[in-house]
Amino acid sequence: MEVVSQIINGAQGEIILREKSDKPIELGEILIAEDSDNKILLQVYDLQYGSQLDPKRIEYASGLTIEEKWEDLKFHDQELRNYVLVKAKALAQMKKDDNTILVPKRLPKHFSMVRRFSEDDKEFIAKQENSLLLGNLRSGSKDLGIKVHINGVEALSHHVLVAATTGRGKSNFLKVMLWDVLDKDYCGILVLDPHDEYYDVLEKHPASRENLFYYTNKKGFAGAYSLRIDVKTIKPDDLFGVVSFTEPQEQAVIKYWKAFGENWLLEIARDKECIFEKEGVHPGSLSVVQRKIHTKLGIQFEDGNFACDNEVFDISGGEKTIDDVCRLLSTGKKVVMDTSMLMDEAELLVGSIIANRILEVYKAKKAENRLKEFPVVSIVIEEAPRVLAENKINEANNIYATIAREGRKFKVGLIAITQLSSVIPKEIMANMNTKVIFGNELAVEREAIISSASQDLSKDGKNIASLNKGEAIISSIFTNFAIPVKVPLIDELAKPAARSQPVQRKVM
Amino acid sequence: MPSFAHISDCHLGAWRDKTLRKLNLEAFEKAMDKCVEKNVDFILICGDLFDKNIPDLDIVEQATRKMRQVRNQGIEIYVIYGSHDYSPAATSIIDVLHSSGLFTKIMDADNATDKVSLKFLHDKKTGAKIAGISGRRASIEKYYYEMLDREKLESEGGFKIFAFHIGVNELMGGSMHTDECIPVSFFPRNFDYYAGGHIHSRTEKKENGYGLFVYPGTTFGWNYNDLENAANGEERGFFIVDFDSSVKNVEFVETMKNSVKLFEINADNKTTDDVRKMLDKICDDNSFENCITLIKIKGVLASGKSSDINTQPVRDKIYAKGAVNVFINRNALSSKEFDDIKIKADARETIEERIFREHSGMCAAYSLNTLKGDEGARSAKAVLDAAKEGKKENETKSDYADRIAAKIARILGAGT
Repeated sequence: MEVVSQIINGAQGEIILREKSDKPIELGEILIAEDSDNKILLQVYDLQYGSQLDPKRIEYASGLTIEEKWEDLKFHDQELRNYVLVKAKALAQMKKDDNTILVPKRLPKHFSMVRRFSEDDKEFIAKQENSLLLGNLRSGSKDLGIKVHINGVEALSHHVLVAATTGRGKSNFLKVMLWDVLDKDYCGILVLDPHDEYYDVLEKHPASRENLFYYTNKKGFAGAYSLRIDVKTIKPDDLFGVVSFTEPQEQAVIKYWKAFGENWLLEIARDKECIFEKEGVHPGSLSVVQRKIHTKLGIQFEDGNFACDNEVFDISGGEKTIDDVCRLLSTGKKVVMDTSMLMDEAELLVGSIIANRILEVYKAKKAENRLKEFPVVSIVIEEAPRVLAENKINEANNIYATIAREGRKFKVGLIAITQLSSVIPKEIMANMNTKVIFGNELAVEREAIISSASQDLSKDGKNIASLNKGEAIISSIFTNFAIPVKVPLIDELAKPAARSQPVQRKVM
Repeated sequence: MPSFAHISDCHLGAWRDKTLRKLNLEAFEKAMDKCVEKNVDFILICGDLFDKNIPDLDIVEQATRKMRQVRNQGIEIYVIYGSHDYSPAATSIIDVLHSSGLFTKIMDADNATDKVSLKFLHDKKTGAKIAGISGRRASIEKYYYEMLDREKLESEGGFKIFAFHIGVNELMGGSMHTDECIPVSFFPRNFDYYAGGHIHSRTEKKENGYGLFVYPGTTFGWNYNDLENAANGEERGFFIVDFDSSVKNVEFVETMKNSVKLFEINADNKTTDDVRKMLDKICDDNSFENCITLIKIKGVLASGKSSDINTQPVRDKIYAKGAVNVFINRNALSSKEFDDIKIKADARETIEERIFREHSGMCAAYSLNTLKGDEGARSAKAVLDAAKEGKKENETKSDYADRIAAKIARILGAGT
């Protein structure tokens, strides 16, 4: 055993170790204290200097060095008298006889020798059923090369929050996660991709031909499906969750829905006379609804024809797109939708329509007691506060909030990505049962995540602030402790993989 | 102005019932006669001309005779395989007739590289350029589309036709699953006309960035569902397309000479006696002359079992009134007492497909991909179809067994 430190002091939650002089320890590093029955996993959350000398003498000695140029001044027994004190917390305790992992309820033995985490300790990170890769185990800034998985069915149905500021690696994380599940059929995942950044990488996966479906209206993507949605497939509930309406406006929408059924949106866009004025629809309300439908969704009625500013909403095509996507998701496929040409609300509406339908389908399956036959479905939403912020979640029929609250009962979950965890209400944060926490300089954001984490991260503020790009902490109810990870670069994963080539057949 | 006929899914030889088989052939013959009458320059058949790769020879003989008449009028016929008349295991009648010079197979590709490079077939009379991809069992042709050298096809000038035999996702109205068809983005752009087969419903749609996509549908029908759709107003026929440098006019020509009548009986909570009375009432109708009559009995009987309902007297009465065929479908009929039908569907093929789909999950642990998921369901259906093939005349039992076993092994990817 290569000793790197020794437990010298402290208390539960604040164990103090002395660092061995030639074995520097990093913030966030994971260490092992071991006795005959147990291994205790420790994580470093603070470092500070320690010395046997009077601080005033040290300060004086420093003055001699920098002011008097006594460059060869050295302390006698330097390594013995001056050292680094390490503050650590116990993350987990493993019983050696059966590898059971417990929450530590006692301190490691006083003066225990402590070593670094090694390959022999990887049982702390047991591979799970229906595994979902979250990264490699990290000790400080060192990638230990041990893959960290959690149970994907559980984690995805209980929602995943990815908290990251720009440039900390959230896109890479999602690509790695999607890459990992692309050949697994326990989950269907819908990615609404406003930057059109996922397909290029994921299509290199060997299983992409069978399992990856790409919807775009960009030219030159052979094999891509047209992202066209028949406006008749949109229901008022889909719209209410993503576009704000006043009560009179909402009443007007419902009036048209009742009168015209699936043609309600077109009839609203077409109606210049306010045909329901006598029945209480105010022309002003109708006009505002028409304007919102135009500005948010791009749909309007001009010169006797319907027109759409984008190519997504259509009046003569795309009638099966939503059904197709729902069916693909419910058979464990991964669907990437290029929404880069859509405005915010239109993108959310697309997700809202699919989320509503898939939740309906899965509720029906649950009623038939057949839910276990179906894969978990997860929907990736970028900039989650657009639908999960305090002022959004109580809007009528916000399907994203509904899924966040009760989706887990029906195996429908969210992967919510945000830079601003602090604007998501605690109730929703508490429902996000797996949090992937990347580095964040803002104390208020760190506090929002720490206070809703599944493990006690109250001492991890500095640790989170010091995380480099690609480094994260996984806090989940499905892990025994908050796990530090380093997310591998997707380019490294994608490089050795070659998409399966079509079988060469004679063409006749 | 030059013109061509676009025909598909004739499924010659499809019906066991002799009358329907004859009517199916007559629809094809009518299509050929119309082509001569309209003086088209060439005929393009986009797959499933025959229902099997080796159909009964009497059907082949009659169809060949009719096509010979057409050829003798100077009308060229161009053909691609469909999913039914192609076989990965054996020569198809399409190859035989192509070799005999009766018609020309379109596909002539060079796939020496990692791309499928299609060559254009030039119709000498009109200058039209035709390229295409044949149909395959279980939509294996998806791979060809993936490997297709689109750029080369797109850069060719002139009036261009692309022939294909597969569902196009954006054109389907919900009748097909995404993985049973391909997205339009797989097709090369800049063709004037995309001549489709495989889909049995007439469809015409202009796709953004492409020319006109057209499915003529079947000339008659292949199964009960097709006839039911015809009874519900689906037209059966083919297209005649006028063109010069682009498509000028598209005209649909009907080929089905008999009307199809559909009667539906809802047997929910009825006794077998009630159903018999409802059947008798249908017989009161007096417009069965030359009509194909479909009677669909569905629902859950309150008592008795479906086999207690003797339909023969009803058939006799309707035939006596001049019907050419009476088809009584009780696949979706079950009984509270004898509830042994779990799949509610109309056609045998649909029931088979659904059963295989529902049970394909049980093969998840097998190593062969051809046994898993939708691919597994398709493989199972193909195996069942192969097992249904009859022994040929003069074929020994052991040759027959070997032939079927080899075919099944190939379908499952285990053979050579």
